[in-house]
Amino acid sequence: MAGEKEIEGAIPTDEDLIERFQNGDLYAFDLIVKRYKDQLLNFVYRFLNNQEQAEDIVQETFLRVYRNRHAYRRVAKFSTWIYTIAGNLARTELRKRKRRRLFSLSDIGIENKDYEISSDDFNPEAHVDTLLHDKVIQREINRLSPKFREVIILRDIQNLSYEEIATILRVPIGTVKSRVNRARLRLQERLKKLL
Amino acid sequence: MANCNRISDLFSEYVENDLSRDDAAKVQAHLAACPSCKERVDQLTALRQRLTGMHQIKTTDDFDLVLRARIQMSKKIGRPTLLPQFFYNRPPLFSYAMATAAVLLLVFAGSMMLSPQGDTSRNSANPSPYTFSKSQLTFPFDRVRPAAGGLKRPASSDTAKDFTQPAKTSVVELAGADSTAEQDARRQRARRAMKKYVIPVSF
Ligand SMILES: [Zn+2]
Repeated sequence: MAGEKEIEGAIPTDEDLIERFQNGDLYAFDLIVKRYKDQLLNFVYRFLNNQEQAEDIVQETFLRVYRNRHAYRRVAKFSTWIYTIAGNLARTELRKRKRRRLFSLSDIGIENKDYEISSDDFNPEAHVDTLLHDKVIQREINRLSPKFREVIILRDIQNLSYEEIATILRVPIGTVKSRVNRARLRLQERLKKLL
Repeated sequence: MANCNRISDLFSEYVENDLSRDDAAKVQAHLAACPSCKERVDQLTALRQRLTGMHQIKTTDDFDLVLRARIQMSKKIGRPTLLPQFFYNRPPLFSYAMATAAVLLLVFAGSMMLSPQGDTSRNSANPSPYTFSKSQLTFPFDRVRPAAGGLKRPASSDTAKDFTQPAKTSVVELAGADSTAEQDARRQRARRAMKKYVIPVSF
């Protein structure tokens, strides 16, 4: 069984997994989901500032990976491919928001889900503090235009390389760097008191 | 100072140690002479740390369950199921397709909720926590089996050992719960998760 082989062998790369999935190994898809769901969730969540919608979009991302698995070619890194899909979906969502009044699921009586926050050593006071600051930072991130917002999230929150970000956004590396620089300077300007 | 603006183009790469030696020296020289830029760079460094340290959220426990349902659903209706798109960008006939799919999903979800204790007698030495029969669920998780010691949350999410352990999904929980109260609560949650994707039909 594929799952057992992995105990002894090296950890399969993303590219190995998607190839296995392309060849019919559904278990490999599970592993992909497991590897990427939280990472993508945080990316989309920071971008849209709505957890429920972010989860929805991450699901759609995986659904598209599932359905379009044969469109993936090994020339590209899998991570940039899946980020591109998620990013496009998130951006589309943002554009739609502009065109309409934001529809919220709570409007039709669906309660909010509880989202747990991961923290290794839990210190209540510091925790509350961090959350408050995070909120302020998040608000400022959302005041950035989408172009600046996405680069700052990918670079500083998600720690992707400039090369990866350039591939995901399909813009030259120089452009990514200058956007990151401008986004940081703007945030620094607005968050002075916090820093 | 006159060239503060121009030199600030390099700040970002400076705090990342990503500048050529020449450029880095240029920035350093400027910072030594310009307190306001020095402060700015210090704050940029702090900002980076803040951003990197922002709290991470996790997907809800229902995530895998709902994803599987959506995949099943999309197989039946042959198109993606993104909720907002359905709401806001509805092509003709799509609502009909969605209604059909929702009914299918209801049936599908219903059958799962009503019979969470599937056939475990098949392999009593290593009973599968995935109690849905193949006809109910053809999608993956049935190949992920728990370790003999039971269901533990893996320490790291990306180790090889990890792969043999199931994620903490509600599917696992549905079948693995001991008390019926717990089981009911979990079923309730799963049902709610499903409802989320069924409700749009009424629109
Ligand atoms: Zn200066």
